[in-house]
Parts: sequence; C-alpha cells; structure tokens
Amino acid sequence: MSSKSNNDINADKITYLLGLLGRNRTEKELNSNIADSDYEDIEDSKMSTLESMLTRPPISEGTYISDTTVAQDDVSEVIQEIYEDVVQTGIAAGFETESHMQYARRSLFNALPWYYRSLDANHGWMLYWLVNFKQLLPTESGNAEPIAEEISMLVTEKINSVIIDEGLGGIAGGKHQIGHAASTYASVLALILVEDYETLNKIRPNLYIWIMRSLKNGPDSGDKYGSFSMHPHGESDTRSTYCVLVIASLLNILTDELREGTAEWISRCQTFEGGFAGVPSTEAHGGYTFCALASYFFLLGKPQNEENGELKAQISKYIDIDGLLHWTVMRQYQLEGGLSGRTNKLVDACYSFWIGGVFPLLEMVLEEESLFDREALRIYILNCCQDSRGGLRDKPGKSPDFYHSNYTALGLCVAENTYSINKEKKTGADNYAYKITSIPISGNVQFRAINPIFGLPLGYAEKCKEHFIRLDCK
Amino acid sequence: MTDLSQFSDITPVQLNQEEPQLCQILYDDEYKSVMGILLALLAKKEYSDRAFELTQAGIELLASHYTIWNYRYNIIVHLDKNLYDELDWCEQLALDNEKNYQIWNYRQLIIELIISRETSDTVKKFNAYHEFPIVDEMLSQDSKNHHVWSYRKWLVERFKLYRDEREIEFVAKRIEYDVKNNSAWTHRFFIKFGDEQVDQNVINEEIDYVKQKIQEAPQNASSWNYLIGIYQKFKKPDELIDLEEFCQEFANINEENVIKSSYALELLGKINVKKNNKPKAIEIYSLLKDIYDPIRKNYWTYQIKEIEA
Ligand SMILES: [Zn+2]
Repeated sequence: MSSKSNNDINADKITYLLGLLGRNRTEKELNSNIADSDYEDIEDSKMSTLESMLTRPPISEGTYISDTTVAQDDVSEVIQEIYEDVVQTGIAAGFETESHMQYARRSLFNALPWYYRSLDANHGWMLYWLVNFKQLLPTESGNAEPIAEEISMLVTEKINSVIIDEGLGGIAGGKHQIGHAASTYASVLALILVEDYETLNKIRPNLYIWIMRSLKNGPDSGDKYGSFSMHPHGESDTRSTYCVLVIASLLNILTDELREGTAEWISRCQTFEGGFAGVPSTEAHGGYTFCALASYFFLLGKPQNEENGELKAQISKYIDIDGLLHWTVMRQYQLEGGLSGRTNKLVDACYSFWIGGVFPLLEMVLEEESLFDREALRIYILNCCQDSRGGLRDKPGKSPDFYHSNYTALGLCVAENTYSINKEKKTGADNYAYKITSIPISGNVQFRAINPIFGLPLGYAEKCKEHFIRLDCK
Repeated sequence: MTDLSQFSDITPVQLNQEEPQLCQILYDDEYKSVMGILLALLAKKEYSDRAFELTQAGIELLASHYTIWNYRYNIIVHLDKNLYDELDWCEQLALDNEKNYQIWNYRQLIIELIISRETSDTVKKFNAYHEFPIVDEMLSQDSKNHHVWSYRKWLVERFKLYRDEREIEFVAKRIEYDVKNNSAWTHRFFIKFGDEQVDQNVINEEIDYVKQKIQEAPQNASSWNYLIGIYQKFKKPDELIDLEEFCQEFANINEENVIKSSYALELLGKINVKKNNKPKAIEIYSLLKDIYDPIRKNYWTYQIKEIEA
C-alpha cells in the first residue's frame, strides 16, 4: 500500500526516535523492520503522536524520590518499553474486537466462579457493564447490532428479581438485598439498553416516592441539603446525587421539588484544585468530577432561544469552569497518553471515561472541538489495556474486569468522536442532556458515539426519554 | 466455617441462583448458607444477638455487602449495644482488610449515635482523638486512601479540629514523607482554611511553607495547586503578580531558558495575562505547547485563543 518514500520517512523517524531513546540499532535491523509487512500498518499520524509522547519535555523530574515518584517510574518504564517496541517493530496494536466480544459473551453466559461473589451486591452493575460493553464494540456495518432476544429477556428477568416493593424500595444490588441508588441507576441503564420500557413504566411512580422519601436530603439535613443518599443511612455524595438525577431524568420524573438545592450543593464540592470531590473539602477525583459536571446538565434552565455561550453562562453561575478545565487537562500524562483520576496518581484506563467523559461536556460548554489529545488516549488504550484473553484493563500487569472493560471502551468512543450541543435537535426534552450530536474524527475510526452524560451509546437515553414524554402527554 | 447450628429454625433464602441467568455466580456453600440465613433474618426483621454475630461472618465474606452493614447498624440500635465495643470491632476489621470502604461510613454512624446518646451527665464524652491511632495506621499502610482521608476530613469538621496541633503535625509528617501526596495537601488546605475563620498570619505562613516545598521538588503539581489555591481563595486576582519573581526561579525564560517546572512556566503565563502583557503570555503558552508540555497542546492553543479574543 504505502510507497517507498513513505517507508523512507518512517525509517528516518525510527532512527530519530531510537536516537532519542538512547538505543543504537544497526542498519540491518532497521531494514529487517522495514521488510516486515505489518510495518506498513502504522499510520503517519499515529507515529507522530507516539513520537511526541516518547519525546519527553526537557524538564528534569529532579532528584526528589518518594513513594509517588517510585510508583510513577515503575509504570513509566513498562509503558515506555511497550511504545518503543511499537516504534521498533512498526506494529501498533489494533482493537481486538472478536476477542473482546468473546469476553463479553463468556462473562454474561458462562457461570462465574465462586470468587465473583465479590460482585454479589452488584448484579445490576454487571448487566450494565457487560451489555453496554458488548453494544459499544465495533461492528462491520458500523451500526450497533440489535441486542439478542435472549439477552433482553434475561436482563428483564434478573432486574425484576431485584426490584423492591415495585420500586417503593428502589432496586437492590442482588436478591433480598435493600434498594440502592447506584444499583438502581445501573439497573435502569441496563433496562434502557434492552428497551424494556414496560418494567420501567411500572416502577417509575414508586421510584419517585422512594427518592423523595428515602434518599433526598431536604432543608433540615444541614450540610447535606440538596444531595441524595445511596439508601437510608448510606453515604451521600456527588456519585449518589448523579445517579438519582439520571434515573429521574430518564424516567421523566425530575421535578423542581426533587432537584431543589442540588445545584448549590454540588457546587460546594468543587475543590481549590478545580476538580470535584465526593463531598465538600475532600480531594478532587475523576469519578466524582464526572458525576458533578454531568449532573449540571439536568439542573440548568431550559435551552430555549439560546445564543452562543448560553450554556457556559448558565453553568458558570454555579462552578468555576476555567478551574475545572485546568484540573481536567492536567489528568493526561505525556508519556502514557492515558488519564489519571487525581493529582500525582497513576494513569488508569477507567478514567478514559471518568475524565475522558468530562472533556466532551467541557467541549460542549465552551464550544470547542477538542480540548485534549484524543490520539494519545487511543494509543494508551490500544497498546496498554487490551488483555490477550479479551477484556480491557487498568494498565499493563493488571487483569481485565467488567468495570474496566466498559469504561475503557466508553473512553474509545470519546476519543474517536467529537461532541457538541445541537440546539435544533428535535426533542420533547427541555434539557441539554438530550441535545447532543457527534461527528466521527476522520481517519481510522471504529467506535460509535456515545451520549457522554449517561455512558450509553448515543440514542438509547434519547429514545427512552421520548418514550416517557409521549406517555406523560397523553 | 461459621457455626450455623443455632439457625436450624431459619430457612435460608435463595440468592441469585435461578437458571438460566446472566452473570450467574457459582456461590460456595459457606457463602450461600451465611448470606441465605442473614437475608432471611433481615426479611423477618429479627434484631437478635445471634443475628448480630452472624453479620460479622457476612461482612468478612463480602465487605462491600451494604445490606449486611445496614442490618448490623439496625441491630445495634435495637439492642442498645455497647458502641465503643463496636468501634473496636470496626478497627480490627479495617486493619484486616484495608480496601474495605463501607466501614468508614459505618463508623461515622456509630459515632453520631454515641454523641446522640450523651447527656449532660455523661462522664466520658466522645473524644475525637480516639480515632487518630486507627486512621494514622490506615494511612501509613495506604497513604492516599481516599475513603480514609475523607473520614479524617469528616472528623476535623465534626469536632472542629481546624488548626489542631496534632492534626497539623500529622499532615506535615505525611507531606514530609512524600511531598507529592496530594491527599495530604488537600487535607492541609482543609485544616488550615476550612472554617473560614482564617487569620492573615496563617495565610502568610502557608505561602512560605508551600514555597519551601516547591524548592524541594519544583515539578510537583500538588504544591503549585496549593499555592495558587491560597491566592485564589484569599487574595485579589491581581495579587498573583506578586509571584512573578518566585516563578522565575524555576522558569527562566529571559536568559538561559532553563525550565525546572512547567507549573512555574504556566503560572508566569497567567501572571502576564493579569499584567495585560499579551505577547509575553502568548510566547509562554507557545513554549508550553511546543516544547515543555506538548501533551496539552490543545489546551495551550485554547489559552492563546482566549488571550487573542
Ligand atoms: Zn480503574
């Protein structure tokens, strides 16, 4: 495919990079690399991103040594080796769709060994992670395949077995357990994936009562006013609050009474670093930051007659957008290309969504196309986070799991598309969360767009919302 | 194996065992019987000593089982159990399983219960220092454990330990040990400035302290964030300009172009924006974009665009 002159350019790049890396390779070795047929697979754009990642800035990390620097150096060393290998062999990893599909199917259908009891309070979560992961995987046609009838039926059955008192007690993490906001959130998403609106419709009036009676922290709850708890006596934080807002919005039960005080409470969780914590004054953290920012898409006024900058103006009443942007961009690391969850912590692929997913939201608010290095994130995920037996993992040396598979795949969906608010998008929903459109980034793109507010393939949340709006109009 | 002989009157409930089902877990027998009995007891709202003891076995099998934690709490309340014993029990559990996070929310509930039961004639009131040994121990095992630090923050807030001697000494030690421990810096910010009753001396002391820590390791986002955080919270926007000389120590762009810290360089850029020296600010952001911080090239381009707008 590629011409001789392209090879020459790449050979020069290799010589250049090897020089930077302090490696001396003989002419012969270089030539043998060029003769490798896979070698042509590496694209120029990827090569130049990788080149930039391996070219560390000329700032010495200094002589300071601590637990943090030692842990960081260990990870850097492993990843540098992987990337050098890509450069030397010219073989960059592609996405192993088939093996990941097998992983998803195996995990859903084959009984899990006893030690998976560690997930026994997360049955709804397992369904969401795995069905969603499976739906995100690239297909030949480029369109998502419909979910098999068999899976739909079994999702419906399982979730119906963990609904408490027709929803009056929420949805539990497993049979005979108590209702939990995060389990309810994950279960609602799983039902939306299989488009079981019947079950959802049956429980939604009761879920509203449960939320208002058992989860909402009202004006008499002091510092917690405006937030929601996971269950009575459970923790109240930005995560539980986000979960409740998502449930209520999707099921069209998000009243002004429900969200009273919430925008103000979340704003108190922004820290001096710019990111958000779980509760006021603790450490800024990727997961909580995503939950906090995404929540605002349910809390602002209606996006009508808006002009450019309207969303930014609305959201800036509550939070410091510049500070948030700064903290978020600092989560990407030069060599790794991947994202970390906190300052001075290691890269971890699940933040490809928790932090990666903050970027499209910020890009919509600021009306910018891309505020981070999407290609570098792709390189990290593809080369460092695929397990040969299928499934995605935190970083090299770790085992894959359901959670990391889903959030890492969502990260690829962020990295391969750009996102914006389409003000003209026809929707009954008076809400920014349902007005998102996307454009694939040109080049070798495989992953479809998601709705980053929900962590679902684009279209599912929108369809569910439309369904209940129509129902409620009757 | 847990002794279940005293539960012969209870029929264990079925866990998620139907077939076929997605993500079926092949529970081991012990788990099936302990959880089966516990959830059966819960269903009949039995608040008894035998149930109380069995919750321990359940939690040891699966620390993230929030339902069992909740059940244990309700039993404690109903049976009027000794709450200090319960704190000791928690402590042992935390030491045995450091990743257990339900424990910290539970501990808060128990302490709140202790306080709510105190009356004016309670001889021994709850003392927040009771909590220090366990929290110290947990953080020395895992110095950035988010749940433990959050718990520590709750203690400070609940018992008004702002600028408390022991607390300051503790956090100073953590920073001394690892100046890149961002959890420790975050906690420091809270104990110094969390209650809004801050006097000017503390602010100045903290600025001196963090500057010294920056000298120790200039390429450290935690300390720079702390410094800028103080300025943002307590100073007028233009006062940031006071830091120009300090930044130049680590980012000399005038002469030799020696950059020891990208954070210093970045702050210099911001200072030049404040000074309305647009060309200089653009020059600095371009250096970051092209040479010193290229992974964030889109962000630096955005900053340049904002200046030009
Ligand atoms: Zn992770």
